[in-house]
Amino acid sequence: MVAEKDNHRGPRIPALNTKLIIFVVLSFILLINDQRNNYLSILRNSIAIAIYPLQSAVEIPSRLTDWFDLRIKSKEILIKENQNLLSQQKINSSILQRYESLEQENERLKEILNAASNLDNKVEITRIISVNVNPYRHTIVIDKGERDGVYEGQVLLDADGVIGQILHTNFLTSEAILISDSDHALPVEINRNGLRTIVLGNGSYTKLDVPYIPNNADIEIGDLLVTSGLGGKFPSGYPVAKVDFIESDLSEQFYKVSAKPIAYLNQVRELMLLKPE
Amino acid sequence: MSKDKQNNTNRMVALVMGIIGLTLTIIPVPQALVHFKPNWILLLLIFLSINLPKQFNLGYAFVFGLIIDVIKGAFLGQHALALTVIIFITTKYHLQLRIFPKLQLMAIIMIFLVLYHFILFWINGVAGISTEIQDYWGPMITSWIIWPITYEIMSRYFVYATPKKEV
Repeated sequence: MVAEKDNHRGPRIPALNTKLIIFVVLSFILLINDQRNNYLSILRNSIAIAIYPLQSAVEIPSRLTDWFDLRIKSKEILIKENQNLLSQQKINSSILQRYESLEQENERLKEILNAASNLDNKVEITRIISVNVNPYRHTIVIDKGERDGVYEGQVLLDADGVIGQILHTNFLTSEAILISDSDHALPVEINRNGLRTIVLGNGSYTKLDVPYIPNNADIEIGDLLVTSGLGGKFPSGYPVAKVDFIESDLSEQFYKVSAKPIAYLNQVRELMLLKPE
Repeated sequence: MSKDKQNNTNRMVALVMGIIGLTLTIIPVPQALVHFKPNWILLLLIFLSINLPKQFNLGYAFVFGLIIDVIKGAFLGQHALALTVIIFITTKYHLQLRIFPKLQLMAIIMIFLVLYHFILFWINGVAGISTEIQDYWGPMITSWIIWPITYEIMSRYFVYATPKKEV
């Protein structure tokens, strides 16, 4: 009798089997549609907006430590850092002067060749708000979304090289896939001689695969791989990786080559979104 | 305590615990620990469906699943499906699960964890996402280890009529 009176601990749960069927069917419908077409983005977007406060709340500790760092650092350290930065700035601007002249020369040469291309791309700074949420894929969430004009396929850089590209956009945030994700492929060329190939991620932050280099190709350890612009997504000329391992097996058709990404894929917090003209 | 009041208290506690669970899911961890993040929401939902099955069952599992899908950037419906299946089993057999000794319950929990990760693995496989099978052992083991602790913590905050002892 106790069990029947007690609503919470009673044995019968109303319509349990029906609920199971409804929710399982619903999950399958979502799963199939999510992969085939895009009209589920409204649902995804509204959930993303709902969890945005949580995602920013999780960020608060690291922002606080940044803030305290800035205020607690002693004056001497700041002066020293400032001097270092100033000298670095001078060196950089001297390099930039050369770059400008080179760019002009390049423009002139391109005009002669009748090629249209622009080296001067604009970027927008963005911050990672969560990483590693899914251990099976290399994706990150950044704090810029559709509101800021982010679009799918937009390129992400850090100060050193290519990081990845935007996978989904939500209203306030977007999700990006890194070049090290095992589903990511990136058309590149060897900077030294223009040999075109593809760089594949393999799930490691420090190693990328370069699978299709024929056995007689001209490739050396230390060669810089830059984006070739051939896929149509990444503009050409951004550094991606340095070749750090070559093994030749004459019975195979291709070299075994791997390369180390130039960008620190698992250490960055501030990134740059490449803006279209 | 009246039934309605008890329901409301439990709903509030579940909401707070759900938010804590989602925060723990989002929180960034050092690279070495990425593959060892426990499935907090799964543990919470198993607890709820065993102890308060009339109030919290498949609906909650489905909604939490969708939220986790968005957080993890997985396919919409992947975690929702896995959670729905597990919570269906725990709700269906909640009376048996409730009277199991702690050790036996832990063994059953391991089976649920394996099944949960198998469903996720299977959907990834069907969708053509290549994943390493060993990546799935980390969260299983950590979730399993923290299950008794979370169980103790959770049972302190929820209000439910304790089974009447025979006199």
